[in-house]
Amino acid sequence: MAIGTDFSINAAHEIRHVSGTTVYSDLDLHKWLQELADDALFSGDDELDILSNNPSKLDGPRSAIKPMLLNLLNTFNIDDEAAKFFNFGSVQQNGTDDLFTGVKSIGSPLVANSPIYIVQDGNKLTSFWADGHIQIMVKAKSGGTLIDNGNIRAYSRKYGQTYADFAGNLIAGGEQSVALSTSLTDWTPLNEASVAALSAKVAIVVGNFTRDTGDGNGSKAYKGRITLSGGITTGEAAQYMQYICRQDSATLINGTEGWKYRVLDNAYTPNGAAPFGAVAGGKWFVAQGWDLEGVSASDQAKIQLVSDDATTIIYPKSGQITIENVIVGAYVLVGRNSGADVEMNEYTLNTATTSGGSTCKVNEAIKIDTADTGYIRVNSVPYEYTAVNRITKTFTIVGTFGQVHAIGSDTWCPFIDRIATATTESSASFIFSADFTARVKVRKGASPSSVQPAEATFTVGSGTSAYGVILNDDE
Amino acid sequence: MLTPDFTNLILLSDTSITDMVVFHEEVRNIEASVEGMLYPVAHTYKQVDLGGGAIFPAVAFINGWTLQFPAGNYVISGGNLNATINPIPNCYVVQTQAAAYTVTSSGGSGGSGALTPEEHDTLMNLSADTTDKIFNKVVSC
Repeated sequence: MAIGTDFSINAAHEIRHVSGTTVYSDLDLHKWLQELADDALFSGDDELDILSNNPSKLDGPRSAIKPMLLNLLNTFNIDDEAAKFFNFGSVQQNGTDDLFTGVKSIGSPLVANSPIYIVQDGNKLTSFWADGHIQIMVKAKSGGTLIDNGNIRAYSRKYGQTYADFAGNLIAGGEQSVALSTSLTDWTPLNEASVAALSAKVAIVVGNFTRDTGDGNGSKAYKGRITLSGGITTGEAAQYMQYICRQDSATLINGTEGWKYRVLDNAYTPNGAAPFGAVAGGKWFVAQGWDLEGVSASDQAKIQLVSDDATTIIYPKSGQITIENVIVGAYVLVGRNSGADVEMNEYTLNTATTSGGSTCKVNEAIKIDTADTGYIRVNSVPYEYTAVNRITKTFTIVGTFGQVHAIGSDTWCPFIDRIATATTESSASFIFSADFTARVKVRKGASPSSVQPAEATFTVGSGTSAYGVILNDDE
Repeated sequence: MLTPDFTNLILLSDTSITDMVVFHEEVRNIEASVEGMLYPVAHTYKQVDLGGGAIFPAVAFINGWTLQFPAGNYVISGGNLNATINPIPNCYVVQTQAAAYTVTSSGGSGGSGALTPEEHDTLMNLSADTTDKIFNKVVSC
């Protein structure tokens, strides 16, 4: 039996690896020991025969297709080196003082030969296994003491691939599975030398920061800031952040080496594939808690942040509506298109207004593309508002309400609702959320001369959405 | 005085309508008012230049708007008016208009009552005497 050639057993019952590279199952070890134990006399370097104590026993039924829980008895033992050549189960020895537990990686897809490493008690175990999926034994208990409570975490982090990590616990023995899958990343085109050269353009600081991107979520807290400089793009920065989390990165991130950095705050959900966030569709979905400073205006649409309180944050695009070819004195009304008219029931009053009051609260969430200042109609009565609190859903108007509007009254915010003072009338700037259809009405009474009413719909997108009305004399 | 009932799309007039241009301007003012902007346009308007500074105006109600008078005797003249007049007890309306000239009441907004070439020629070639003869007198109540 080849196993007898690869291992020796001395008089002190030490089972040691002496040659070969073959990895045997724990059942193979048990079978070999039992075969030696019924020999009349030992021979060679395997000092085990019928006169010796029983060297081993299995917990549970013997099976060639299941991981075995092998107990080495009566001081028979393997050392760390020998343990490298056994798998598919666990080995317990020295009573219950020492335990080697099997670890098997599973998962698909896995890029061919993705390197896998094991971190135990904060340290990366020296690899003795080939790249690709692994089936090994890891020491879980030594001298009666569990190593890090039996916890391990398996990683695969090769730059150019998605990363993966998975936690396991070895206390139960047998063979524990860790799920890892990797795939190539199309958003890391820079090679390692090129991406490493970006280090001077990226600064990482852990601390408390706030930012208000103007997307309507207000000022948000972050627990770290990545500052970009030197013209680095967000796409390049994303690659650099991925690079410093690769398997051999010594870069310290929040006091943790890059090769095992997972998340800024343990309360956050880690992104195993990309600890600082992945890029998809040209947008960097930055991991929670990280703020980005120094992002160029052209790149602001290419990032998405997640604040400390898990709010998704973007840099908003602005929008504005401009109506052209207007006649001074004409009434210009622009609202969202309801199909046949402007939408006049965007909101409903949460509480009745009070005569002399200056605020009104609505029931519905205020639309993100409702401007911070502008026009509001309550029960068709026009007002202007100077502030909107999107959390309390409250508008503050210019002056006061001259009448009581009942609870539930229809309320809406025209984009333009005034008599034109110029031939071009524009709305207040608002945060662009998504394209929508607006309806414009332009009418002019008889002073000094009327025009035929004009009404049309048009699409509002980001930036300035201009629409030129065609006004004809009333004749 | 012309008063709008926006909810029911009714224009309430408490006086006779004897100048269709003035009537049209009053309706336009209502349409272009702060509240009127929220409702459909009430009418279309068209005027034909008769020469010598004279015009012939015509108004047509659209989008479901109607005209209403309180009880009493009223006259509609000074141009054509194509509108439904709501029946009111003891309300008598005499409407004078030219049969040769109408403004379409179809369409949602703006004037679209252009004359056909034949209508225009007919109207322009009439003398004042003959014009009187082809006007219809309509009694509404």
